[in-house]
Amino acid sequence: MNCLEVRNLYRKYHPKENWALRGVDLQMKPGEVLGLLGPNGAGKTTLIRLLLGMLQPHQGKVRVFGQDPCREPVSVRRRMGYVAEDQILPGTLKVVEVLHIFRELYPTWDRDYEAELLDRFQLPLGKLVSGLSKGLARRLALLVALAHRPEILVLDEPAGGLDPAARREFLEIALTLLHEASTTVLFSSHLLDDVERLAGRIAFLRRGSLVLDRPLTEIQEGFSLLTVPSDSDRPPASLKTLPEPLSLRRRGGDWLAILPIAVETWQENFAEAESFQQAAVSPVALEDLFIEFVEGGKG
Amino acid sequence: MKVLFRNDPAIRRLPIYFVLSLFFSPLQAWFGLKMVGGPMDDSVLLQSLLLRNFFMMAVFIPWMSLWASIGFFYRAQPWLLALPVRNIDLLRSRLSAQFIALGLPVLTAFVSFRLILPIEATPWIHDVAVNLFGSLSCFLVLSQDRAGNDHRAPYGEALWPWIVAAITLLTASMMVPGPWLGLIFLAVAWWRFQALKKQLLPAAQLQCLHRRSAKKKESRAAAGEFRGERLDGGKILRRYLRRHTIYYPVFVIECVAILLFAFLFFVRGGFATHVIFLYWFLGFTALMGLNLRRKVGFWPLDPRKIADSVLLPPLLCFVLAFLLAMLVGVDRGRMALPRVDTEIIRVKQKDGKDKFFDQIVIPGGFRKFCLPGTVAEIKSPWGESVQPKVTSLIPGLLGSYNPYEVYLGASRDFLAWQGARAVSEIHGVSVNYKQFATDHVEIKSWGEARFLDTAFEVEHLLPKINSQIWFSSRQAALLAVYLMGWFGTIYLLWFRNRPPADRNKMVLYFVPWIVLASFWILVAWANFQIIGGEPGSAAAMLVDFPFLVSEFLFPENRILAWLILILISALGYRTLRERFAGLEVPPSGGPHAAALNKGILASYMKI
Repeated sequence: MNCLEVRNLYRKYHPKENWALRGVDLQMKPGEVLGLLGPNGAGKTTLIRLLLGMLQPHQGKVRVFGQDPCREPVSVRRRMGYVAEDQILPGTLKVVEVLHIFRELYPTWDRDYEAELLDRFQLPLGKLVSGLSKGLARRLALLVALAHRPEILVLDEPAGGLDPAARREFLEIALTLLHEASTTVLFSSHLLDDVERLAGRIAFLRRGSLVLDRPLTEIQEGFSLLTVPSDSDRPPASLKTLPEPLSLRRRGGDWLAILPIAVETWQENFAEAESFQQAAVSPVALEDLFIEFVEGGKG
Repeated sequence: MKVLFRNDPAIRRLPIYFVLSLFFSPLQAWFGLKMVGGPMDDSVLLQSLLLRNFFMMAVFIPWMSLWASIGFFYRAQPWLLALPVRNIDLLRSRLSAQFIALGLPVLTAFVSFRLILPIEATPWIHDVAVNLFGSLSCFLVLSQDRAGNDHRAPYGEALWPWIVAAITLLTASMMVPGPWLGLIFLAVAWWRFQALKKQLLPAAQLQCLHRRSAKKKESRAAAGEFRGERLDGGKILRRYLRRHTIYYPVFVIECVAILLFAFLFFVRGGFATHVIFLYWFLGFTALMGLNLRRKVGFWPLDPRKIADSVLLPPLLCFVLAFLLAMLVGVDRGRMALPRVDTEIIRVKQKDGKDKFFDQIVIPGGFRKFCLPGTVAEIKSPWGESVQPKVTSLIPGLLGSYNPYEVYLGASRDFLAWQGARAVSEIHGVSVNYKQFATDHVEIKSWGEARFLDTAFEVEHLLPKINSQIWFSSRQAALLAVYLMGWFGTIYLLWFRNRPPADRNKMVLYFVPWIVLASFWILVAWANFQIIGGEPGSAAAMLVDFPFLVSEFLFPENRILAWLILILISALGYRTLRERFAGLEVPPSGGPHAAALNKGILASYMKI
């Protein structure tokens, strides 16, 4: 059974603006780790806020643990953890006071786990939240997101703004904890290395639409980048003989296409064709895939 | 230094601020002028107090608006801290910009009052202008003269002593004769500024302007582990919510103001200003709600509980103010009870001498509406008559008049006849005018008939009148109308945070603003009429209009009326609570937040 389900989700912020999300379908099973990718403004944070019931859908359905997060925000959020880049923890309170508030808010709060995390994170309990460094503030956010042992953990650009060392440390801690608890994780980030290290499945949002939703291994093995030299402004006609590319764009004197086929499949079925004698095919790294999606979607 | 000064928000927004001053100062002076020529001329002390109050408002409203938009507690804008500038230069440019911004409305108000009001009506104006400038300057410096975090002086709860100080300073500067108090304040400001200079760290790059706050930071960091086992999470949570609601400084100032003005204006017999303060609350309540929703939006906390902490304090404050006013009204017989009063009217004769007579004043709801030019003379059985003065409500279309009006030189019988008619109609008791003449009208030695009392509190009517006072059906109706207005407008303000997908529905957004704007114009106009000595039509619009409307809706039975009030208030509150629960928490910053915050709410968010 899915612990998270989104069906045909539409949302916009202003009537004059384009849809922030359009027709998104997404499901997650317990224990899954999903990396949510997309350029700025693709709708990642909007989707996450809809899952937490902080926004209401204009069309479509959101269900978390079978419940509508807008109608049952308390019971849904008690089973979720949330860390975001722009997350606001009360800056006027001390760390220890924040912990006390969250203990009150989450009935499943695990004091032993809290103590363990405190020990690990080295948080100064007597310090005001506003006085914490960025790294410490993010650790505190992670602590309050984890100490009630959530069934779903939502990380929205959790390491944004942290230096590489702090980011690595943050993610390693998160990763270790996740493996221990086998929590479902929805992880949104621009940092593809992080996503590759954490996620078992990748969903790619572009202009509010979910254009890709596959297991990471399938993406790493099942896609290839085709480069066809051509002076024409129009895509070569020969591309029509191939499976529909996920993205297609012109770069210099080449046409670049991301094909939903493995390099081996290309070699077996298309490499010999006369029209592709000049073409080059290579495996696609996640970062290349991301860039091709972003660039290919600009047209 | 000059660059910093020129780019200070206070200086950059000075033109807008100047326009505001140019609008408010003459307006307040004009209000004052209307009052000088009005019936309050007899009370020199009250008139002087009110004129000083107008002067203060002329200074205070633009100043507060600037404060709200630039944040007076900023010692420097955060981005300036990275520049190679000395801390003292940062603070000096900030304070000097604020002094200019502060002096401008004082000067505009001074010039406006000098030009518009007669000099003899405002002999105190030099003193008050100096005192006001001195006290506000002193407040500016004192508010910065505190240890605090980096570029901003501490605010929130730390602001309390300064708010109390500001109120005390302002009150003192308004009341104390002579300019010496203002001069003392200026000297104190200068002295504290010199002390402040010594407290500043040399460089802004240290991210901390204030030496004491730097030390505090260090000691706090050195404090290390903090054992908080005795803390109670529920209490901390409630305290955190309160900090954003009832401890919110603006809210407390509003509470004090609403209670004070409720008291003062009910004593005076008006209601309009009270309503203004009630509707000022709307913006702050909406703001507090939205702010809290953003801050704790992802917590597993029932939004309805947050709604309680946002809505209940202003609601209780208003109801308390209403009950207080009711209590005062019992004594004064103004709002709580439709009562017949008298008022001394001054008439200037052709020879330049003043003559006085007593006019009968009735609650606005008992005035008659009429088309201008269609009012017939009011004729007594013996033929003595008066042509009532029509007050225009909608120029050329609708007016109102007092059907129990008397005139200068009216006979004793005519006064008694009109008085008895008014008492009979308004109190619902039968009064014989012959008896009324004996009890309430006298003939002065120079032959004029004058009323004996300022209100016709007829002994034998008192039990009946008293029984009408406490928790009457009318009070329930009035409270219900205002509460519904309050609930309805906040509902519309919060409606904005969930923009509909349908483009055509956008027009709905404009409705609350149009309604609010219309209401404000109405209130301002009514206020002007009250000050101008024409309380009848103002009361008809603001006090008695709800009465007139609600009389059709509310039963005579007082228990039933109060039960209906409780019921509709509960329904209204519940609806508002649900609306709050439906408010969204959009991503902070970025184009989405900008799209949501367009319009008036955006200006609230900057406070």
